[in-house]
Amino acid sequence: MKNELEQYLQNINKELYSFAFALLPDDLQVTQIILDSITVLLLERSELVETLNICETEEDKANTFLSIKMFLYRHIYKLIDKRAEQLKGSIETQSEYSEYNGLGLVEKAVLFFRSKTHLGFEDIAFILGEGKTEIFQHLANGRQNLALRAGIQMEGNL
Amino acid sequence: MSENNQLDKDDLEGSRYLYADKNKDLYLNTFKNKRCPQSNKVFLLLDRDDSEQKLKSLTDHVAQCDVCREQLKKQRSYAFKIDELIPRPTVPRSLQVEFESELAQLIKDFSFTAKPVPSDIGFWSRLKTKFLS
Repeated sequence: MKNELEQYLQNINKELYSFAFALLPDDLQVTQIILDSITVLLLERSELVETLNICETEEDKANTFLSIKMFLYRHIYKLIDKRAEQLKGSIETQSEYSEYNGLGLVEKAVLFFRSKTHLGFEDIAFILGEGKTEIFQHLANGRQNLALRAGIQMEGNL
Repeated sequence: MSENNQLDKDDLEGSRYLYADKNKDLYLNTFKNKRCPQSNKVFLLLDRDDSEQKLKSLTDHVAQCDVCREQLKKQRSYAFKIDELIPRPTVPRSLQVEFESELAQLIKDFSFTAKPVPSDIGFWSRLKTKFLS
């Protein structure tokens, strides 16, 4: 069972890492934050991990894995939210994404999810601990602010 | 990458949904609460949670309307530019190796101590406080 979990976590590391790195562009911090989130999972949601043992169908197993992934995304976001402020000024941001890096944390998270993953609004709302309406608002603000920073002139909203 | 490491099939499937979802977003952001100057049609009731049927009526209209199609083309160009400003998914190979080794150790540690003995309770409590406070 543990091996199956380990394999799953290895497979989704790229997704988790990409999200975390988009919010906090420091590779070592990000790796540690992902490992810390997995520690929280093993400590706090051992029953979820144990559920993998008793899943009768592949669908049940896929749903359990999905719950694990959502839990990890949520805790990665929480940890970054706490650490980003402490690390402010000590992180060298990539010049390639300077406009994006200058946005607020929640705007960056929503933009990343909508642009680079196929997560729906409900999943994003769960991960960020907000309502769907707020997520729509963050998305609209994030796009406007990013366009403004990059000097993209737009007609109407995007 | 897919959950079973079957990169091709699941990645393509993921891209398909992502594409459909982004297209829907694009249509909604371009036309919501706007009036088509040519047909005078208003898309007032359209929202993200609306049915595919409503979206289809809009896409059918856009397919036939030069003014709306031009508007969509402009918005698509903005969307593409904005997309380019958002970091691409990545993970350095060296860190993936380091991650896998740390993960293996973590899983091993927890498999040996899944049920804490009484003398460990203080340690577990401190660990929980550290991560969850």
